[in-house]
Amino acid sequence: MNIVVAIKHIPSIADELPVRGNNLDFDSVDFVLNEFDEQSIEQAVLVKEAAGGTVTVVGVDLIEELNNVLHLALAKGADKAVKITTDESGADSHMQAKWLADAIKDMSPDIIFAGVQASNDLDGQIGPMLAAYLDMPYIGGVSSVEVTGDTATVNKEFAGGVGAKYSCQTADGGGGASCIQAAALRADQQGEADRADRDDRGDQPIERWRKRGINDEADGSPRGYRPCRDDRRFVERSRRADCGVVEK
Amino acid sequence: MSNDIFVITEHMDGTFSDVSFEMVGKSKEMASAFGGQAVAVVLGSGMSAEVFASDSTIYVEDADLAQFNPEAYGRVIEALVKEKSPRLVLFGWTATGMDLAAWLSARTGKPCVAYARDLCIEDGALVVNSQVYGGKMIAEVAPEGDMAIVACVAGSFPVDAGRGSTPAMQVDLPVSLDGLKTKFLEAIKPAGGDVDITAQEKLVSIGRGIGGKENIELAEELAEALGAVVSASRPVVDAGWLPRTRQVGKSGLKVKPKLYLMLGISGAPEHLEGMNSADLIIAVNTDKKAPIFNVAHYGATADLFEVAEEMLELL
Repeated sequence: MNIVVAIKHIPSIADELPVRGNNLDFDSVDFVLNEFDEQSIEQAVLVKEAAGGTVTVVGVDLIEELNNVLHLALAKGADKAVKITTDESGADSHMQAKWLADAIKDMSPDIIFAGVQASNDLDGQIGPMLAAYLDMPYIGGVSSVEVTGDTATVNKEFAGGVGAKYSCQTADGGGGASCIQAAALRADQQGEADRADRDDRGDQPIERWRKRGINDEADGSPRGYRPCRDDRRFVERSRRADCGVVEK
Repeated sequence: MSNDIFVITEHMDGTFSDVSFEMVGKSKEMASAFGGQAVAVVLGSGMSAEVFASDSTIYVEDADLAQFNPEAYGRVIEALVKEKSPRLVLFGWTATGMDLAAWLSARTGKPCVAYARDLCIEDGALVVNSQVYGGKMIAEVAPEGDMAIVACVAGSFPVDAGRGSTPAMQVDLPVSLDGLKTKFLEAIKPAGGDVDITAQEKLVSIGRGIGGKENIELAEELAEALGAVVSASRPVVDAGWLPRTRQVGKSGLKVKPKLYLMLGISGAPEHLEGMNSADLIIAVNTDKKAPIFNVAHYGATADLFEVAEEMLELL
């Protein structure tokens, strides 16, 4: 089974988020792997170990620092890592999803995993867009996945512990239907995967794909960002006026 | 094309979610400024769809739409939207709407704005306020073009403004649902047996800042001293430090205690959805820019362990 994981490198929200012009100052922020993508890498490896196949992790390298993330994915049990390079450090979800879809369609995936959301999904998440661009079914907010033959059975979470079980056909070599799922893996499934033979794999080569430029915009981005009243697209939030905050 | 606003409603076990009413209420407010109608869109089977204050309600009934199925719902909504060309399509930024909004955007090439907290019309143009980066930033977005897709965070608008009894117009399936690759199998009910955090008057709620499972005990001690129960944000539950029955927020439970004491929770929009109507919110967080300080009544930018230990001594 050909398993692909699409990942997103995003500005860390643990630190200050400096603003330049009408967007974040992408040169001055730290980038981290979207935490939901960490979970979907883990979920993909669990599926591989249970059902066989290979895991390919693919992401857009926004600031030439994706290698660390990809090496980590290889160390976690992925078999192959691919990065798409670009000069657009501020590429939005639509742009990244288009580029990822172009790269992934040549990989003939049976099943694709993507983090259910990311904190910078201003224009929506990558998972459902990949599904649309690749014409594959999508189920989001998935907390467990089991693949038997050409059928994936997943649990999707709604709210308050309520969920639902769905089945979805995968392609399994036939090149027909495939399935995209956004995984939010729960702790009770984490760590089950056998970690043997993974330790020495962090130095595997990363495949580098085509370079993309600014003119390659994808439809559906909420373009035409309007300058805010203070001429910034992003404005820092002010505190609730009546909040009595004690600073230590 | 029309100037209508389509509200894609959502329901479970025959009951519409609050966010559906919220969006209908908001669309009523905006529709006249666009010169169009607020249209509630209901997909389901055997639903009583005449519960909205919309200008009109469209009801698509089919056995395959009885439960939420992203593939079936997506197909129907795409066909409806392409046929009727509304000016604006509203989804909830929920387990349901999140499967559909970005997907519809990629299918139609129309812009999508997620994490929306507010919408307004300025000089005839739609402006959306979106809460990104875990609530640390607000983006003001003016989507271009003749149609926009906006996914609204639950709890952003009043619920009651959307309640009414507008007659529902049942329409035929606009597209075939043959050959679906996705099938709904069964519902999963929440696990019981733990305390019900929605019934508590006082909650001590912990977030990622608690650091590790070994520190839960401190929160338990403080809760006991206060006559409270410990609840948590999603990362704490995902890490397995507390059971899911204790999770507050969008994918957890909605609580409305008299006291909500937050230790090490930054206040991402997903968490606020579950607790922002608590009577008294007190937040302790080391990051003075944490979004929780926008909603807390009292706050301290301090180390949660120091505060908890100090409080324990005083109690």
